[in-house]
Amino acid sequence: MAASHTFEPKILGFLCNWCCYAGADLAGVSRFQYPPNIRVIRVMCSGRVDPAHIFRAFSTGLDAVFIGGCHLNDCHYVTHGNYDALRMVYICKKLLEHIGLNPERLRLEWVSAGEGIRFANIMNEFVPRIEKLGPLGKGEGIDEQELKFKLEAVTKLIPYIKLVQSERLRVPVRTEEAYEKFFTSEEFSRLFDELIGDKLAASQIMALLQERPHSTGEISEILGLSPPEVSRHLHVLARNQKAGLEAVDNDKIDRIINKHQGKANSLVQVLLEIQHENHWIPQDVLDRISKKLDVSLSRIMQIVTFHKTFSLIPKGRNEVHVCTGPSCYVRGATGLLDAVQNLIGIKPGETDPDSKFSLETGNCLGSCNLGPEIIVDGKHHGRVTPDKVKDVLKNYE
Amino acid sequence: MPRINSASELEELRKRVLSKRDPDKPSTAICAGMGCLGLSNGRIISAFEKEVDKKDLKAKVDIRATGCHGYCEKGPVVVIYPEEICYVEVTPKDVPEIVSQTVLGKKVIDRLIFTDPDTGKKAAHQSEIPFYKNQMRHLIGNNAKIDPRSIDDYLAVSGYSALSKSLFEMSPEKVLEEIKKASLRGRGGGGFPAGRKWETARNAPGKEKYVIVNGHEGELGAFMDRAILTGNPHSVLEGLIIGAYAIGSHQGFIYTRHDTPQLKNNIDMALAKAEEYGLLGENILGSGFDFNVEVHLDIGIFVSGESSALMRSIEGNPPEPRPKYIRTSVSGIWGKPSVLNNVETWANVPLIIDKGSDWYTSTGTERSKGTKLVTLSGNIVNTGIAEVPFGTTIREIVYGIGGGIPKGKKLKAVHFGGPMGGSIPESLLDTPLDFDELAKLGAPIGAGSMLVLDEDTNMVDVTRYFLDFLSNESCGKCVPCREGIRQMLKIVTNIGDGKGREGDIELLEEISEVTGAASLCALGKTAADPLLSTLRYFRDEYGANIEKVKSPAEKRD
Amino acid sequence: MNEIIIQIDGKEVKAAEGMTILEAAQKADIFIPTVCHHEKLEPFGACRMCTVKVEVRGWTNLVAACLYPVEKDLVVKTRSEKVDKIRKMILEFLLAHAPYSPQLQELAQEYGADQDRFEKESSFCVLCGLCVRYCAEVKKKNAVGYVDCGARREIRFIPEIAAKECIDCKECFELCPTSFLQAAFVLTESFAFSRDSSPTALKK
Repeated sequence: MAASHTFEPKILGFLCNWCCYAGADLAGVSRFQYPPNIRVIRVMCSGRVDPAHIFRAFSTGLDAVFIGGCHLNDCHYVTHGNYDALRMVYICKKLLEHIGLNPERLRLEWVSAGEGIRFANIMNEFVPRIEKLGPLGKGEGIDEQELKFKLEAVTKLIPYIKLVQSERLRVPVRTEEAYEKFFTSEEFSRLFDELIGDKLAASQIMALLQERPHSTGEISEILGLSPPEVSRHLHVLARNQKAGLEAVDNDKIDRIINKHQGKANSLVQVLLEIQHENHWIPQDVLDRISKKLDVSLSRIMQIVTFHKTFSLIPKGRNEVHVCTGPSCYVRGATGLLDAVQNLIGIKPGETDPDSKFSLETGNCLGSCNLGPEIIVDGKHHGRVTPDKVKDVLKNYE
Repeated sequence: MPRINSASELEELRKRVLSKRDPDKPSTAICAGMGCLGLSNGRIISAFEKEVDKKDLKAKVDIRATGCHGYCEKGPVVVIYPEEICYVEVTPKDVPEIVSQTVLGKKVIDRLIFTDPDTGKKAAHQSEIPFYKNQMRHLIGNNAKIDPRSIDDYLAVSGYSALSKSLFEMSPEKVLEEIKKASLRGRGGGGFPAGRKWETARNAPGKEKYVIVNGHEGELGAFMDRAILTGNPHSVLEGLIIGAYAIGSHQGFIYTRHDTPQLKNNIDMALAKAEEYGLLGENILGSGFDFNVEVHLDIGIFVSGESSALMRSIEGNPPEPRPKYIRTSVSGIWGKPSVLNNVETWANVPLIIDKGSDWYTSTGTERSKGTKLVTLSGNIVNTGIAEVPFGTTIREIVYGIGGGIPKGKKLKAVHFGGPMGGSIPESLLDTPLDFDELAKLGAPIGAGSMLVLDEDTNMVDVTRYFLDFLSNESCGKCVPCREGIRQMLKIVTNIGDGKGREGDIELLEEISEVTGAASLCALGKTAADPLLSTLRYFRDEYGANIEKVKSPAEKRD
Repeated sequence: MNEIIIQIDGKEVKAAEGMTILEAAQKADIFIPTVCHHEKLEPFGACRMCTVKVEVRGWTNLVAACLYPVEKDLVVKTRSEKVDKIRKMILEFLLAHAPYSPQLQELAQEYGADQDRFEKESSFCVLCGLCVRYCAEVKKKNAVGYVDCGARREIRFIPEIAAKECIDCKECFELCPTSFLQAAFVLTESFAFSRDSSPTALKK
């Protein structure tokens, strides 16, 4: 991982007015040498630094960001802003990690006004470290285009991340140990993944879709996410897809809608009919229904997302349904489902990348004598054992 | 077909229909219920049609694809009349032989009749087969005689005579009285006296009233409503019209599942035929009574079987329940009095009017009158639908009709009521089938699904299964249900994985107390019932999993 | 409007026909805690915090005060062992989602709810529905609605409507007991509003 000999890292530093800036000043006055790669911005408190600043720095090509503040519990403001900075840095480091950048590029240190030599020492250690890591992105093996794309995705999400940070990722006790314990805990990891990581993936998928329609397979490859993950996000983001790749018989759909024009009470029946005919409901169709039946879009959205009966994204050519009613369950439906999942490579609710199969589990269809069973495109295949699954599915195109 | 305009015209039509039917004419009834359909009985029906065509027997033999006979395990089932010879597990290859040997030759084909797996005894006639012998088939018995697409078949079994009697010989009040005297209790799970519900709606202010058939059948493992509604839709329709007459309603709704095309087609056809014959629509049978029916399909979620959620769905809204401080029989769809009853409940109505409440109340127990359709599924030899009088013991049903447990295993529990019910252990198997008796044991009968569980079943896992189901099917509006089920599921899953902690069971009991008391609708209120019943009878299974964590020393040894 | 006399916590309260127990109690200055209730909106009955014990016509029951209509001879108890138990657990459920909500914290103090009783959930929305209902009933724009059901239920903005209506409104923001509503809004904004709009400071 040897960086180019001529690589000079560009580092941005946010130093708090009361302690760190004064400390850096002292280092300068005392002629303690340190490399000149850091450009300094003076802030009144390290807690003032915002994730937007950090990611803006990275987006404009800086290789590292340094934040210096007062020692913990010595903050010159009663709000203890340096704890906020600590929290913010933990989260930003995790973000950097998440998008494939080395979290060491972001550094937080406590330097008091009298610690000039400490400041110089830190710089003398930090700059060579960044030199070793190499230029931003290139050093991690990420190309320019991809880096820009990822940083944009994070930047877009920052207002949301800030709210999550302040409302959900608080630590009630203000000690260094408590903060460290929380931010290295499994709970934090889980919360981060569910609240932020997930939305980050969605944000990136969104960006791709706004460019042009992409298939599940394409997205999965570009972003390095598994197809089922992508499928799950697509369902949620369906609202924001441009007109898709699938051909839709709009005349047939319009005829169904026009039959019930103005009748808000027929909403459920209209949606069911369209779902049956078309196997999925495109977004613009929802808009047309909203206008013609005079119902709010939010009501329609609530109904179509209420149950897996409706799909907002195109389904595979064959709909595979494994019954997981209680009778089939005690007769071994779980083993059967595992076999099907392994064979097709998707989980319930998902469609495979080639759009051949969509898998769903479901409620009892009342043919308990056939359990455990697989129903493909409405045809029952009863009393199937896991080893027979291949035979059942091999003839479907 | 000109509309029938009086009771006498109806009777004349019936006589004409019957006169055209020779009771000695051979006919085959091929079960076209869901279970047999899934076993490709479509090929058997066409095989019969082809054979009859080939041998030019159309005038001599009737082929009829009927509703579900109930013996799903042994499907495809074919019954030859008039001898009532019952063939089981028929394949298309057997058809030519059946036609020549049995239909024409009146000979029984030994390999196709029922053989008792324990005694080896054979039974050629439906009435000799243990599965059928031990039932009292008032409601489902007619399925084998009716092609659901033919209204004449229904008329031939005295269909619509109860309607005619109600409209012309009884006042609405008299009909209501009769239903009340029969103590007809709701068959969908509530067990609420139908007569009282009808009376509340009748007395509620307002001219517009609605009657609804709840054909949603969301209860897991229950498929009897579908069998009746697909196999004999006219029986339900007749009951609905009679009920509407008694209550004073002129608009009915049939709410049923969206995922079974056969069901919807049969209902649509039944409504069309009834309308054509003047049994539905304006001036029914010339009585001056108007009544129309609309069919609505559900979106597939379990909660839309709940009465207030169902009504919201009919209104075109998401199916979210509302608290029933004001009963739906007073304020239901669009705020109007609405009577919602289960398919089986409605199907009982023509029976009561025809034969009288005295006859009806002679069957059953003190507080549960009449018969009940039950579905047998799970670890049982004979999966299918059975009809038994209330009071029959569970043991009689499981062994006498169900044929016991396959592979010689022992029975561990019978679970009633799906995700909102409970299990009874083997030791309580002599409990009679009764709304109140079972409810007392913490295993309310629900819609009548009986999930039989053998000795290898892990009861903690079964509880987890039901909680998992409910967490997906709850509407999510109120906190106790949504969060309570979420937390109970987590804890039970942990216990099941051997990660139980001390205090878990007490916590589960506390959560179930809150969900039971504070939830908005019945789903939330009864969500913890499977858990509570397994804790009551199988507590040691929970304890064992928690113990595993408590004593690692034991694990090491 | 007929006058109906009911009893709340031993006190005689005069209520009008068609009132709910909560309305009658508020009129008589008797406090019943709520989370999903708002005077400008139709009562919802989702949080169940207002559960009270009632006795009428010979039977006792636990009902939601915000929805139960008053009737003659109704006897209401706003606190009891069972009622308190229910409220405590509801708070514990909600605190697993939003432990730092000031409104929930205050109620937790009163009922002794332990915010760490249940494992923390990532979503910090308590699904009180105030935002959805406000936008539907008061502003009549339906810019935010529910999606999914059961444990997966969420609120979500409809991007086209929100882009048009919310920037100048945001009246629902102050109703949110956690700040999930704002988080959901900025998320929708960053995903779905036109690419030219930059995510600037949003608070009015």
